[in-house]
Amino acid sequence: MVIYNNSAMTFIDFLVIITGAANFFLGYLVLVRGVKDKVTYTLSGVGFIGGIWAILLFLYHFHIGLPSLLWIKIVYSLVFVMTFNSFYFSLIYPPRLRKSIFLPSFLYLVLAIPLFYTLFFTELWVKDIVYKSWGPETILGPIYIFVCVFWGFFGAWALYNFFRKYLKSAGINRERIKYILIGMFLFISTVATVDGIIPILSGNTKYFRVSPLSSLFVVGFTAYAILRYRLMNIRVVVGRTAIYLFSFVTVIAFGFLLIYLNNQLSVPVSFKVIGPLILVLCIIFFQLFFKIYGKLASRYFYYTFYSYQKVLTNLAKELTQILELDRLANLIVKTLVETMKLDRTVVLLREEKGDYTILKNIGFREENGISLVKDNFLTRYLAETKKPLVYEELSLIQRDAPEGEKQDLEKLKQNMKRIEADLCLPLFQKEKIIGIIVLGTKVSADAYSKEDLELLTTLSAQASISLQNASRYHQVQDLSQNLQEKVAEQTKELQEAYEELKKIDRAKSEFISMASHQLRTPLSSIKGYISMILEGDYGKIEKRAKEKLENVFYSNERLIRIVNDLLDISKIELGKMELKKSPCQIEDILDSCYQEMKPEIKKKNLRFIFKKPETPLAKIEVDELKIRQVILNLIDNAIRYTRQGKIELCLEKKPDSILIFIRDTGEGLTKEEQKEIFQGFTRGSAGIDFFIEGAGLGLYVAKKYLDLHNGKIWAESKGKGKGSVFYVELPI
Amino acid sequence: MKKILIIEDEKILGEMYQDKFSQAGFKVILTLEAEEGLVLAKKEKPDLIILDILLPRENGLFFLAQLRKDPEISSIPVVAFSNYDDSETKKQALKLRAKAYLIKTQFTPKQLLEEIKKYF
Repeated sequence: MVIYNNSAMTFIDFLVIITGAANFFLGYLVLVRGVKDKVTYTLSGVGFIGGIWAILLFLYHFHIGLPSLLWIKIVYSLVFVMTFNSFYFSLIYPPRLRKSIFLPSFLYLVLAIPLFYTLFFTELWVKDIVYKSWGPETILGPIYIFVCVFWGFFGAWALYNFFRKYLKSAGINRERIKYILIGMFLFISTVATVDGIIPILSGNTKYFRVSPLSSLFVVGFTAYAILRYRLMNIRVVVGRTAIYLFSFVTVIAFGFLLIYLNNQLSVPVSFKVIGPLILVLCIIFFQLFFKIYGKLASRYFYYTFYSYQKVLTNLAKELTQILELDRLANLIVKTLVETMKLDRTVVLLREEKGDYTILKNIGFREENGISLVKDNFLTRYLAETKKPLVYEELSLIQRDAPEGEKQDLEKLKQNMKRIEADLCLPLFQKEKIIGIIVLGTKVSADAYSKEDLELLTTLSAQASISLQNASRYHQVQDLSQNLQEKVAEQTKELQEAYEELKKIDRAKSEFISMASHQLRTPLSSIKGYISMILEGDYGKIEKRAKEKLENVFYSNERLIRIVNDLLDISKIELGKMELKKSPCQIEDILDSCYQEMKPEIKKKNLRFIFKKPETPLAKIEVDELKIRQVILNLIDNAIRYTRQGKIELCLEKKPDSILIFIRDTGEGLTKEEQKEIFQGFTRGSAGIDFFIEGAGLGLYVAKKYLDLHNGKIWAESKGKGKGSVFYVELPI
Repeated sequence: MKKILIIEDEKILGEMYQDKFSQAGFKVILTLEAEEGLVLAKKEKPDLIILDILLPRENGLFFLAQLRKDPEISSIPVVAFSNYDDSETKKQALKLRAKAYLIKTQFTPKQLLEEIKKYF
């Protein structure tokens, strides 16, 4: 086979081949990686057709296999397809903007058929081929101008469609269309110039074979739209491809430069010699260029491709602000789904006991999500390796794994495949695995790249910390909730116990009340009969017997007072004590007490003195009976503790009050007793002691009555054996 | 001779007051029950009634209420005389026009006699 006979292969031919390859590659990528739909097929069609076009033109140029005449006719046939494909693309992308595609397609077909006939069966289109030194020249017939108008019309229509869609759309779509529009415009206008205007005006068809180069505009701008505006979700692959392409182009330019320099020499070295040399150099330099572009691309596309830095910064910022487990999980999952373009992911969290629960799930079936951690192999494996586990690497891992693990790995592989999980990301907290994030396949079907894994690892470290914090916060919240419940419970118990006690207390008071009433009946009869005996109602009695009976009478009187006190206390404690206040002459009350107690005091051989101001006091509002009871109790108390000497009942007028005091020459009180004697029999041991002695009760009642009168009662004593003074102060 | 009706379920006490009042020259009629008291009051038309409050079956308040309903006997002065020292009961008794509500333990029979003389 002769590759070239009358013309040498030049750099341009080389470039055409490269362009063809690039077109193919784009077509292939779009087809394999894109969503399977019309748009994908059409766009990949642009690539494939562009590639075939370049190759056919190459074959035409060097009339390989077939004569150039036939090749050019095949090329033109392809242009029919290519034009329609581009036009069709303008109709369907972006979808839903155009109602009907049938009519325009039909129109195209109707017009194409006669032209197609003309191409193959007449000389009206392609007359002949003339081989020139630079290659084959196509002699075009008169109809060619119509062909150009036909294609030009549909090309312009396609551009018009894109332009209209560009105007109508907004946002990211608008940007995408803009780049496709620019690419298409450059492509169509170049082709129109090289293959239409120039041949028609000058008959020059020399540049036919370079027209596929212009399809690089479509490829380039589409690739840009893909990269920058995520046109097809194949950014990473396209990004890589772009780097390859740039490297290629640079290497080719470099090769071209060498060829050019060689041609400048007075005696150029034969291409046959320098060709392989340049090729070797190109291969060597290709590596260098690839690295340089890779660096540039990663610097520039960091934002557009991955924007990992931004993802991580934003995530870190937000993570620190969230303490609720649910919101945290939502944020992590959202970030993962948006960054990685996933349709499924699940966050599994390890409980205290080692079981896993689903914290957040998108896309996976619940039982599938949890099935991964059912056998402990995965968690154990992740805990050991501390690295993300990628499904695609499992086969390799399996190959190198020890025999024992192979089966487990196989099971894991099958399970991951079954549930369409692509990656397992362990979450660690100080060497301990606290959870796993399972990621599904990317929407683009791209593999997880090295950059992805780096991002995911960093992200998982951040997520771990936040999840741990949130989980602790949760625990603390639970704890405080528990604590609150406990406190409430115990408060309730205490409340109940208190209510119970109150009931018991009430029962006690009621019991005392009832018992006292019943005690009063025999007391009444003792009092009555003894008084009548003493009065001689039942006959004369001996003087000695009379004395003893008087003692019985006074003892009975004391008993009556004690019962009265008990009744009063129970009344006070039941809240039934009511004061019946009326204006009273306080001297009269004291005088009646004095008269009542005089006989008893006299019998004990004590002196009893009543001192009152010379001028009468004004009346004050008191409950006479209660005040009387207070004074009687105090005098009774004084009698009990005084063996000799005197008891004084005194009344004094103070600026805002009336002061009554009972001074005795009795046993006196210690400092402690002075404080405690009013505290009553229910409170503490001192009270009980007093109760047993039969005193204290009256003092307690006295204190209660004074409280009800807003008065005061207190005792003073210079100590044991030195007598005491009991004070009662009533406000005026 | 003035007639006093004593309604007192505690026999010993009743007899005690009977002794004292008889000696003082009163005619004393004694009963242990409120219903019988009403019958006796109608029959004997006493000049004063001394009425215990806590009684078997119907109590003293019942007696007072019934008494006040019967025009024949409704104007007989009544002195409530009980050891039941409850302010509510006291209020009711006074509302039913008892002349006084006295506590038994506060009075010797002699003192009671002095006291009731006010109410004839």
